[in-house]
Amino acid sequence: MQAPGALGPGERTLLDRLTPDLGSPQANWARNAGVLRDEMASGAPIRDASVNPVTGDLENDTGFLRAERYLLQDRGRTYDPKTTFWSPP
Amino acid sequence: MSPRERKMPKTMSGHDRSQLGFVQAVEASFGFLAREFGFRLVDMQPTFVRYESERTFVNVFHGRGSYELGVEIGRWIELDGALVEEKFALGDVIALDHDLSAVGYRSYATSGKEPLVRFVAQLADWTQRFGSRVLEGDPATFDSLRAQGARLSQAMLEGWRAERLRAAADSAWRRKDWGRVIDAYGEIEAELGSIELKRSERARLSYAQKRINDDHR
Repeated sequence: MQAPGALGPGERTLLDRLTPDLGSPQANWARNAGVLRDEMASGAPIRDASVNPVTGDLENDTGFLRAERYLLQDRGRTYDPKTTFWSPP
Repeated sequence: MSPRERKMPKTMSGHDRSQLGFVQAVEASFGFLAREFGFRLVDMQPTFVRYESERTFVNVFHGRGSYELGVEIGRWIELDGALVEEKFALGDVIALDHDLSAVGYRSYATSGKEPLVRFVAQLADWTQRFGSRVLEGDPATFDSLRAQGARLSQAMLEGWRAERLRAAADSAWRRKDWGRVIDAYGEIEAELGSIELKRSERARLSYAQKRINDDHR
């Protein structure tokens, strides 16, 4: 995600808000979930970067990624494989 | 694209992650990729190691935030005139031809040095035993993985949508809002191919349809 070109026009990364590693999965998840909730509150669409590049299908549905997706859908967001965005209700 | 669009969060690895010895564990267990399949090591970081051959690549990672250990195997494909990566998790590769529980496959997460070495060795063993066709870049196997991924993704999205519709139907049932009950269960039946209504839901749907019909007589 930090590679040149990884971000599309108008997009920005949340990396600067997710450092450093806090030393445990629990602490990192609490921080990540908080950042994700903040972003959802802003109402902006969120692009899912872990998708099949051809079909847009969701991939690697394990660990934090699964939990983040669950949080998104639990807040009423819906995923569109055509755009690969999670859109607000 | 809106300037307010956001990306999914990621976590940078901390400086002390190298002390867990992830890179050394991967080098010790994944050497077969070079010996048997002609891969070369192209990237080594405290939480990420990558191998590439002419047609395929292997990512071994230790989740920066989740501490989850995993393997991805992928290929490069041309999309809109550019080469992009199409990759699949080791579990999906194994699931193509095997029952994951019979294999004993499971997800691993650890922040300990000793279990990390054991888990990486187990992932390497599964990669070697079950990954040969994708490691060799067999196009048909990659196409099957894409089709399997589409089915899994659709089932997951439909499962979530069904959860919401079931909650709406349940709430409508308590309010005796028969039209909404029919809408919600009807949407599941008509649009969610991977979801089947339960017997009790079918009974509610029939009852709601009968009440609507009775009201219109």
